Amino acid sequence: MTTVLAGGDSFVWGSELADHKHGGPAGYSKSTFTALLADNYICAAYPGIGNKEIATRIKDVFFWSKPDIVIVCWTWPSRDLQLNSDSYIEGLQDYLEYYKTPYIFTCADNCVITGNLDYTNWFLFPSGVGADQTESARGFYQWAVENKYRCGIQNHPLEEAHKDAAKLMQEQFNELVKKPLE
Amino acid sequence: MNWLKNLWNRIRLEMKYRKKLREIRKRDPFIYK
Repeated sequence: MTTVLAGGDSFVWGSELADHKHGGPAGYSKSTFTALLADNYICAAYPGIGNKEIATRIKDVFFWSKPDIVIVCWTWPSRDLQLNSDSYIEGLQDYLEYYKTPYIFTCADNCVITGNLDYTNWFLFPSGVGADQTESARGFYQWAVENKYRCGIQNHPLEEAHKDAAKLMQEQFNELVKKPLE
Repeated sequence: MNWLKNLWNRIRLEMKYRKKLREIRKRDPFIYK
């Protein structure tokens, strides 16, 4: 039984997915790419929040949940009125390494990547065909839009995108769960 | 005249910062919904 603690915004909460119930406690979806990787799933995400709150919520929930692995999908740094979120990301990285807990970080949009951090435990998505002609790694939302996955009315990628994203992440996930940090 | 130069530099930096922030905000299609 692998317990996954997931953090992020609406993509990890599962807004617009069929099994997304409501915006209240435990209203999150279990069809998101983070949930599909888990046997036992704990969601610390919430729609519309910024990276500062994502990090805080993970730390709060981590304290009582003792997960086997933490997956975080970082969002746009402008939600915290900042140009980058390196301090929050690095803070959470240090926290998880201190508690010897494996983690995978990914992002909604690659604008959160500054190149100033250690990105070894990050999972980034491949660039789409004929996107903006660059080959830099993508975030989940960019990857889903560029690969023309179906989106909901509010532009959130739907179930298919989450399924394929989980498949892409599976290998790195398996490796990390088997081999916890020393 | 130094104070004027400093003020001008600070205004220029602030404008640059706001422009960058605006650009990142534009990439986030969800925050205004």
